[in-house]
Amino acid sequence: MFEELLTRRDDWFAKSGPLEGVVISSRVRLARNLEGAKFPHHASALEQKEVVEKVEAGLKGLAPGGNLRFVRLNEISSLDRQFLTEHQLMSVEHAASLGERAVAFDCQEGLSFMINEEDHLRLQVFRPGLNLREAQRALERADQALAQGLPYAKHGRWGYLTACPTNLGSALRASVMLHLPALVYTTRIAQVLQGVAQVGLTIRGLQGETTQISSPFFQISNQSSMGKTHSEIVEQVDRVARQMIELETQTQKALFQQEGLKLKDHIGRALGTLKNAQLVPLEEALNGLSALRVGVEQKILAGLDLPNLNHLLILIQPAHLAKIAVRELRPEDEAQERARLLRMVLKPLEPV
Amino acid sequence: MLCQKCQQRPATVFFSQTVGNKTTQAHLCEPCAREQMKAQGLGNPMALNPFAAMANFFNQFMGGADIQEAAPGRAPAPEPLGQCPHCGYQFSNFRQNGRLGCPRCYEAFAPLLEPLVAGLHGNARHADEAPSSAPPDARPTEAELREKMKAAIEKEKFEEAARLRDEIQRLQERPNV
Repeated sequence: MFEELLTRRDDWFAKSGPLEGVVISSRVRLARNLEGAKFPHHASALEQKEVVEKVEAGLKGLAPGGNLRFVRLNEISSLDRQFLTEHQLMSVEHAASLGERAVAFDCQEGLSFMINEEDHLRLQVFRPGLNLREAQRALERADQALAQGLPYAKHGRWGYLTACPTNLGSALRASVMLHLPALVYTTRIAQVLQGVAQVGLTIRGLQGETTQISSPFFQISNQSSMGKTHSEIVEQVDRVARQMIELETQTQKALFQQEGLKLKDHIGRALGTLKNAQLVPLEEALNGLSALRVGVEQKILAGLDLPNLNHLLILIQPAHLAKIAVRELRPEDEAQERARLLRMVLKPLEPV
Repeated sequence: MLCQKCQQRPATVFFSQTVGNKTTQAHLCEPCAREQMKAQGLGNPMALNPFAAMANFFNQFMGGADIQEAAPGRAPAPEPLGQCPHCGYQFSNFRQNGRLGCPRCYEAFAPLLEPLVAGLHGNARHADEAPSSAPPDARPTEAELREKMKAAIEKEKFEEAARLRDEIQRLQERPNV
């Protein structure tokens, strides 16, 4: 199932976006619940099913969602669930949980809906590069269209009512995935993390839930959505992201002036490894692709563009590799399959 | 969101600690947060946990009700606030997992949730969006369009770039339309 998603070139992440040299993607999400219905964790299978059906009916009336694909999670394999998670269409928690749950998505529009995750409905929009405002507008259109048919639970003072009180308010979370290799390399990242925390934003690693600096990809997002309009939240995250982009860009520039040869060597070695290695673990691939991104951005390498590399960040993950190989993969097969894919896709990438 | 430490219970505490120039942040569940604080010798862990603090308050409240009931000649105890009349959810479960049972739990447990919500979000009031009228900044700004145009030129998508240039021109001519 979903094999067609492997080769689609019109997926949102295969496109160019503003400030894509540092920003991988922008995401805005809303949490919504239906008045009178128990939250998913407290609801019986029957009650959960009613919610799935109501939201499914609501989604049918959604204007831009003509191409929406609706999937009940108990009807697909665990590999397919993991695949949809890696494809950024749903959370790890949603893939792992039992019960009547569903996901609906339109990859081209970067739009997805998780039904019966922590809340009845989580809707999110992705955009390539730094483009929170466009994501916000697309999300609001979807939310307003859905609100016509679905009775959202709302409180005068606390806003949209969510299973966990941390999400009260407009229940909007805006996040930006940044690539900050120079800040990590110079260890200035520590200061940046501190600064981000001081202005009330959260910062996480690539997988969303860990703060370990194992690869130079970071996600920043707002913590609270109470008392602020959508635009205010989006503006704040956007502003902080721009400061981080500026800092990363300056640091990269200074680094290339000071130790350009060393960095070119590092990038060249990463290219050599990923184009020739026979076994590549995930972390090595992430760090190698990070170096190649810098190479392309600094015009040291040519032949592929940044969206090609963004696409690879998704394709090198386990369930995607299993789909590409058309078989189940043991860990050692996975590293082999990843190496094969990297060798194939990176072929056109050469030093300038 | 699940606790970042145990990956099992929902995260109800946002933990942020700055030592020197290093800041650690984590979304944790109550038991993991308590463990973390104990490990780092940080005072009374209950004090920083709004959920646990609420539960203490709640226990005291219930204890008070029992005493009232036992005292002769007093009015009967007030309706216990421990259960949502709509969905049957126990407030004690909220203490365990940080989640409520249904949207109406917010009414049923309002007095108990009030200080907790204030602790999480301050005393801010939900800022309502007017969904029927698009906000004034719903259109792309000139800076955004310029960024897109630049990206389009770099990608040699000149048709797209020309369209964006026209859009910028229109915006400059009629900035408030």
